[in-house]
Amino acid sequence: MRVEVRLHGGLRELLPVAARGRGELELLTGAAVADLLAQLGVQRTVVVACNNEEVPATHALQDGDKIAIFSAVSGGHK
Amino acid sequence: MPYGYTGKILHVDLTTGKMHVEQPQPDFYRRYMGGSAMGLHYLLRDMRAGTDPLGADNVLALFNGLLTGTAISGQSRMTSVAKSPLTGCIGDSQGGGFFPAELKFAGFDGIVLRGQSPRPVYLWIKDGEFELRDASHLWGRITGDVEDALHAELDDNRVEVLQIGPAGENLVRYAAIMSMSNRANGRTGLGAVMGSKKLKAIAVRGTHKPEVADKASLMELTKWGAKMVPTSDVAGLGKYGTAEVVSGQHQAGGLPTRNFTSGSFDDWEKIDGTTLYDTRLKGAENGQQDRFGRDTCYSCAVRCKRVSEVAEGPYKTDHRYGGPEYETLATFGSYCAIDDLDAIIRANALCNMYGMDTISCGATIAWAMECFEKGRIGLEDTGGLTIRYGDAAMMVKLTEMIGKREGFGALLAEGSAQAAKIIGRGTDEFLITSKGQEAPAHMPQVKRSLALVYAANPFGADHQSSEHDPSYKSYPERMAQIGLDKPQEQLALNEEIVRYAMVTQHLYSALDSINVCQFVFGPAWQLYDTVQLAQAASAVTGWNITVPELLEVGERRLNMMRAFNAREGIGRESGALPKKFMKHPLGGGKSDGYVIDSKQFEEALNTYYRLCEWDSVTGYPTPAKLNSLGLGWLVVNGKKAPAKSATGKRPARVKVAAGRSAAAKKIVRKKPVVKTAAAKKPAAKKVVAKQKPIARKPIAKAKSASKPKPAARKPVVKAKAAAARRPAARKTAAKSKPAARKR
Ligand code: SF4
Repeated sequence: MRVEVRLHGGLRELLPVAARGRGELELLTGAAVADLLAQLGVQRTVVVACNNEEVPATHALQDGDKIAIFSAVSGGHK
Repeated sequence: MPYGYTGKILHVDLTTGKMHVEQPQPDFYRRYMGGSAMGLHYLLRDMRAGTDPLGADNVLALFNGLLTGTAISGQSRMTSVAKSPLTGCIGDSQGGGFFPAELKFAGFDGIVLRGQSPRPVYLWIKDGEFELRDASHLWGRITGDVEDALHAELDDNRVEVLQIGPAGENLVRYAAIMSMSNRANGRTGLGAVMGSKKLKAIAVRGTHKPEVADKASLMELTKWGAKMVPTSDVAGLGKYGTAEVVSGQHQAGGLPTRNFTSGSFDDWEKIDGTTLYDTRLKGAENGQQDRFGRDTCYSCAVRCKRVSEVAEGPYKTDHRYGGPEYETLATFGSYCAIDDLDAIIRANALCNMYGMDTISCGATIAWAMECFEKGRIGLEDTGGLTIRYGDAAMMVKLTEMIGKREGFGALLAEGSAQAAKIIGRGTDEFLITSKGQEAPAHMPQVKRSLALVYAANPFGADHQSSEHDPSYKSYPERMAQIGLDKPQEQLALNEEIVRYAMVTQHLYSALDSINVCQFVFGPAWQLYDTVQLAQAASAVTGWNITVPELLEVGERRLNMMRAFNAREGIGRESGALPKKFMKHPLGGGKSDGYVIDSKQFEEALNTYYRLCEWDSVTGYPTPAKLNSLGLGWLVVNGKKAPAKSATGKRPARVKVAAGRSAAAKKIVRKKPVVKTAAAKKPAAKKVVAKQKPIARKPIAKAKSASKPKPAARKPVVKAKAAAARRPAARKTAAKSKPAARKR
């Protein structure tokens, strides 16, 4: 199955520069958010939204899902 | 003299023009380590309660830190402390750039400024020599012009200039102290203190690198950090700046919108850090923004500073004024419901030209917008201006009017809390302030530990005084280094979260005393962890500095600040949270309906005071606590405290305000612990004249910045001419050879 991904902030670096954080990914049927994160190489703590709803790492993905990934905002940035 | 320091502090009396150098004993350095705590020592020792923040008796202390001037990333920081004209409490603010390192190279750990000059002056320091010079020709000029003028006058482009802009001269209560025309000691209005002293600038040039005890260990840490930057959690910070967090803040429902009415801004992508990077950084048109669109502080490998430009249109902006940080994008953007990135870049540049804190400035404008929208202020108040959310042109116009104290801008220059007092009509309902300081762009409704820190922080609401809630869960190994090993669920405000707030506050307080960048050193996502900070500090000084000692240094500083406020009669009651946080649930987005429960908050505050071992009723530090931190000199037996002196003479001690506990009534000045061997050294040339009181500007009467008056001036101290204006990639530690120094 294929899902659309949008990586925000510094996470954009996980995709080629020209993609500016947008891309499509091929995943095995039944893959969960955690599998997607592993495939992308995400190591930071992130927040994942699937079709605009925040979902946990165990959430099972469906073909055509739109996934947005954000850095979990931690310390204060001036 | 301990390794890492110069061992010298410059004292300047601006009233008389007299200056001398103090050489403190080593225990002074070990106790405070630098920065904020070191400056506080002089404020507590030399100032009386009730001092007018804009009067001659306010002491303004500027200190760099223990690591400053070495090659490791994140060390070129300087703290300013003085009594704040915005809050009436202790004022404290940090800034970076190149000035802090240059000051150390020039031979000083800090500068303590007293008095008021009868006319504008600037302080010129070069390799241990110093003099006050006339600055009449610089008065009224914006930061970039002053920097250019001083480079020409001193015949050296490598001179670092710390200065105030016209806002500091005009005593805007949130005026900043600026360097490089784009770095700010922004918060608590210390630029107005410098302005009240008629000190326009401090220019420094130095060539002596600090001596390091264990060069090999420090070099190892330095190289490790530089190597790790691209793969660490600060990689995004370096590339996209602090603006990187706009997306995550919006997603979490924590992006303050319409003056904290909502935590979600529909148009967030237009002001996001990636948009700024893709479209407005210098060099973006040909993909060269990593080369030309990022700037740094002395010898920092992260390079998080923005160099943005608007080439044409109404918001045309020169890139020398830097680019907006996250806070600035939020306060001038989402706070005001403005999605015009060019307008925000322009407002940011205006703040840097006039020398103003972007947080207080943008937040004050957002407050005025809400007051206008809700009919609490009208055209008769604003001088005919219609001030509505989303009006970018009006936001930019107001920013300039504030810097010049023109028209309605003169009222907004007082800060929102003071303006609400003057206007009345329930406009205080929309204030987002603590102790009279506008809150930064992090929402306690979403990160609950911040409710405590905003309320209890001695210098008002601040986002850089503790680690924020999500880090507890996200960085368990690093948190365990400071004894935090019980992460809690989001939105918890239980005893463990209170402990988290307090312990991380101690650590952040230490960071501001050692004086390092909180993006590079810290307990969570930063480049170096707390153990590495202790290692770096030990390598520089040769002392065996441990993590508990660091935490104690931080706790000491917070208690000094509390003691300062207690003398002013300012304690727990001053920490009320904005009404909106408690009474108006947020609307829309992930945080829809979030509100702070006042009962739960009060209970958490009780726990906080108990854990801090402060008086739970007054919030004052207890004698036992002060003694345990080596601050016994701030305690006297008895129930008296120094009071306001209308005459400026040493006041008779009077009773403290009713309602304070016995434990907290005992904070007065006493002799300092540290003995100093004051090696007096006369200045080459001094400006000496009788003191003339500076007339404070009335709120209603605004004065515009006077026109620049160029004047050809001859520098007294000849300095070598530097080749050219700074290159885009600025000098690094590697560039200049360490000078051999005698110890
Ligand atoms: S991380 Fe950024 S603010 Fe901190 S020292 Fe480095 S360049 Fe300066």
